[in-house]
Amino acid sequence: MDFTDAEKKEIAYLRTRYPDPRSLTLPLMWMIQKREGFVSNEAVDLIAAELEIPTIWVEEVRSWYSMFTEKKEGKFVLEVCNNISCAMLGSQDVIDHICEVLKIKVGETTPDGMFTLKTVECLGSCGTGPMMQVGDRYYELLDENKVEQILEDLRNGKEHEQKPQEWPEYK
Amino acid sequence: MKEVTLTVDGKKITVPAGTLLIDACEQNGIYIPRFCYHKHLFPSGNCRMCLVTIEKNPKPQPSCMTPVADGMVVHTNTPEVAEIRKAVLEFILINHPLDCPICDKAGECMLQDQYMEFSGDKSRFNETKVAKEKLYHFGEKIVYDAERCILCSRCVRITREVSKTNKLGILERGDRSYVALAHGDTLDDDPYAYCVTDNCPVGALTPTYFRFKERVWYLHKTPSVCAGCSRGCNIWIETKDNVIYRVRPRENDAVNKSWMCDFGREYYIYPPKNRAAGVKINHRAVDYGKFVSEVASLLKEHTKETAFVLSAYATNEELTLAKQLTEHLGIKGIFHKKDRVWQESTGEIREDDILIKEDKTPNMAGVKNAFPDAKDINDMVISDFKYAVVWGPGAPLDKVSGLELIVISAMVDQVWDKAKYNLAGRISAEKHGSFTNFEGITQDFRRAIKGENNYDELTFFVDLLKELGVKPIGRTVQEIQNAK
Repeated sequence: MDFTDAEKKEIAYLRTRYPDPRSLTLPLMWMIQKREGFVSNEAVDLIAAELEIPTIWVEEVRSWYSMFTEKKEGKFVLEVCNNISCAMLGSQDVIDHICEVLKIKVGETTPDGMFTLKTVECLGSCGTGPMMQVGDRYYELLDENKVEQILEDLRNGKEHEQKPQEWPEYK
Repeated sequence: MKEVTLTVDGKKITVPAGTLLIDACEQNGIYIPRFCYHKHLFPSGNCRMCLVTIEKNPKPQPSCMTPVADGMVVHTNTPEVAEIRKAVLEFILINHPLDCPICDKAGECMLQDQYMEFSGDKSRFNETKVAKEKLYHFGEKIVYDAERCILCSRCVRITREVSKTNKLGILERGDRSYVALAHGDTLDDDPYAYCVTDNCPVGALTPTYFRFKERVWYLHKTPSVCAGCSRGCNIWIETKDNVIYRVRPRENDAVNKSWMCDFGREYYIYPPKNRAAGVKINHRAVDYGKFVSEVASLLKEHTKETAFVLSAYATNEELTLAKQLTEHLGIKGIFHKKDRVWQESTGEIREDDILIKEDKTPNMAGVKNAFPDAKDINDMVISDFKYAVVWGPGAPLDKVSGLELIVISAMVDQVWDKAKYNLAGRISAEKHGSFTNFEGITQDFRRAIKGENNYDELTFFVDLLKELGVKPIGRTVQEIQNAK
């Protein structure tokens, strides 16, 4: 495993921005995470060797941030909020429905490698719960039918445009 | 250096500026409880046990992270501080498994001691404790128990600041956190790995050689000095029934701070198999009195043809008597040798800039002080001598012929096998005396275990001098030290 030429160029530029090479741990880990989808032990060794820091320092960062994963995950990571506001608005029903549709449990990946289901803490969208995040996109005001449609669209590669959420009318 | 005056519990104290509050209090007899703070490590401030209240400061402050300031008014014994300590202990104990009955640290555990002293309250936590890995091998030498761990990060800082191997780190977050090595790594090649077990405030890190061997309150602690190299680290030898169970560093800011290397520990814990035993002439066991008189008459007769080879394992007191003996007899051929030299095959480190020295004998400086004119054994002209008194192992005389050898040694080597006269000596754990380290610091050590079927060199020299009709400078270590 190695960095690509484009990534090496990027690293050379980043080095000028951070006087302490240890600060480059996160940008380098993002490179690997985006390219591979996960940060393997091999990648940890690569980053540690590149920055000339102890391997454990890189491992500490990987285990601290939930955005970096040690094992390969699905193409789409469904991060469903399970905090109190979403829970009161029925997030457990949404999670149960996803489990039923995809035939997986929380924390598992579908056999075809498309979806990984995770529950996460508050994503700051309490007004529009239940909600989930897939990649950089928020899906809000979820219910069973809506989530089934989203899964179908994601599977078929249909682009979902991110629009400002329209607020529901409260009576 | 600038000094500042502050008030702690109504007592005015003056300390140098920049001192940490926790140290300032301790120097003035006020002990502040702590888990993560260690005198010889950079403060980390994560356990919160050392919180104290400072007037005009709205919140309690960690005294291990607070430098003293002029006019500071600190309280460490108010009901508020007592309440804080109880609360911190309650938090630390939430996920602690309380498996003290099977924990090797029980009896010397900081968490046990400080709970008994500062809290004693029942836990209000009725929920299930977080279960974690109980047996995590950090290589062959150390076992980690993640449940007992209070995440003080002392061990992490030891590998960063003392051994500088940067092997340990804390993985995960919150109540899932645990101390870990990088994937595929072990602590086996860290020469100061056992230090993490001594300084672990709880029983999370335990050395495999001591796990489940003995309860600590049955161990008898003897202050001693490590004979593994010329650094002379101060140690506690912990024994029971004449067996060494554990060796730990004894704090000494001038020599070893709070640390010692693993080779030094293993030197005591795994005693060498080639120990010499008994007293022999021509490979046959003889009476000790007969041996003394034969050696005395031999030395008297052949003074000019006798070489005297000194041991760098000898104590200063033994060397004083050896000097009296050689001066009385007029022995001129005096040589010093390195009893143990570094060998790559053993995996031992030759030298580092932390503690380990290249000279693997404890008292070469003492030998050179007592016998400034002694020559190196490699410069010895064999043909000048017919007899050689060889003291200690490692003399390069196993291949030479034409020398009658009198060997006094704790170890069996080729020279021992070749000798005509053999007297088994003692290792430093079996002796009382003093060593002078490479910096010229002379340090006393006490006898930790009894020697079996061997003879104290000091007593041998006393008997030899008496046999020759001379009054020895002293008969015991105290007498010799007082006579000096």
